[in-house]
Amino acid sequence: MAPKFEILIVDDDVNLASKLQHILEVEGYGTAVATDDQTALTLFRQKTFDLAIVDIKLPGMSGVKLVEELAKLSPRMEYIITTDEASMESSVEAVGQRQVVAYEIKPLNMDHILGLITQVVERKQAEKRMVEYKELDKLKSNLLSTVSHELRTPLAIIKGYSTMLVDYDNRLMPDEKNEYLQSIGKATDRLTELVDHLLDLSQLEAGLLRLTKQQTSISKLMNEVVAEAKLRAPRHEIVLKLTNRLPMLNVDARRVRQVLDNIIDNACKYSSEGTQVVVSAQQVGSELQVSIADQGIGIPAEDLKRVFDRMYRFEQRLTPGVKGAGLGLAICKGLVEAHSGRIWMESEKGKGSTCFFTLPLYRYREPQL
Amino acid sequence: MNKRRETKTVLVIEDEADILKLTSRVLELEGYRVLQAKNSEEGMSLLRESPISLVLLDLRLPGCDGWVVLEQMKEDTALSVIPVIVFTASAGVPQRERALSMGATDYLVKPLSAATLRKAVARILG
Repeated sequence: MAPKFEILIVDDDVNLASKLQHILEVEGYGTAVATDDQTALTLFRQKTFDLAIVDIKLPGMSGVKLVEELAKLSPRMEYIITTDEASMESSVEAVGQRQVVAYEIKPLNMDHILGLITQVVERKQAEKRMVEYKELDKLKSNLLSTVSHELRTPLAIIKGYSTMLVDYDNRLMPDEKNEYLQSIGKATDRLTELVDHLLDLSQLEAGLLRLTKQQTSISKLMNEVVAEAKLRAPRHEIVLKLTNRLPMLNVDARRVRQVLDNIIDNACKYSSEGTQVVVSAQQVGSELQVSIADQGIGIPAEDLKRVFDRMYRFEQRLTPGVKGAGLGLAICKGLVEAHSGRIWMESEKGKGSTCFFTLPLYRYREPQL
Repeated sequence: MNKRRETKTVLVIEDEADILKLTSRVLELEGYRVLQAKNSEEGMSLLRESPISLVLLDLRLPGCDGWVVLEQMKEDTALSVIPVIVFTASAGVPQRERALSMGATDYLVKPLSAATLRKAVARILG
């Protein structure tokens, strides 16, 4: 629900203030009334207002001084100044340009005031949208720049070494040539992974990703995944903990494997060699809950949701050697949610992180035809 | 083979290990002396210690990025005369203009072939 537009009414005429308040509340605005300058300032300090309707002729401070004071506290606040015909010119002179939407002469035309307020509300919403678009634009720009870099780097390796092998063939030692060929192979793999990730992400975002669901033994799948993961990360201690009888799942086995591989690889990437990565699964209610816990440096609380954003790698400055564009977790989120599951991260800074995801259990029987 | 190349030292500043390796090897095969740096700090430190004839600079370095190297070289009287070839994975024209305006002598876009690299270096060092 969008927050209410808050209006402060400052007028020593109690009847007028009430009337204004009532009309504004009916329109759905939040309001507060102050009949003198001190109350106005107090209210102002307690709450944020979007607009103030201020009577230029206030006892005590005078409307002009009040607007000055309010402007100091909130430079972006806007005002409708109410005054009488006689004082109009001097009011305008005194208050000047200071964020004033309009000077309204008493007796007040309520329709006109409502019209003015609607304009202010619309303008502020448009400003907010602009800010959001700019931020989005910046994110997109960064994304493109990172993807471009991540694509060109392995390409540069492939092109560099392959042209070297041709141009300097008779001057290179056999083991050098071998090394270069291996690097070309690895760079190709890196490129393939990135391309696959980008395609997956595009499909997920366009809602085009198709799951091929089948009855799957999750224990068998997880055993296989962990066995392979151990080969990829021999210096980590990857442990599998499964409760005895896990039910069958109706899932796309290839995609579930992808999610597990990705999260386990991530856990290894961001934790030191020799540490443990514990993969476990258990039935919790009508879901299967899987967790992958590492003993890495942990993730700060404010970043826990953001790790599933594309390209998000907050630890870039701490782990400069880590390759990859950071799309993996975003894809995992897409794949888990495509299965109607949930995914989240828990972490304790300095101790490690645990990634959880759920998958609905296979209960549904195919109708017999 | 140009004998004068032995006296020329090229500094390569690049954070991707494989790219650093292949670039350096091509230069060695072409007869130049090569110094390597993985980031801008190492690069600047080598620049101040040894006589360097040419800098090959990757603009997208981690930490303080490659642009800072260009800036610092420009501001230092001794370093500002050393030619710099920047290479980068971004092909944008604004990048190229900016690099050239900040004192870069040439601008190469990755991926590069060994031939493109050696020709660009030969154009400056012979």
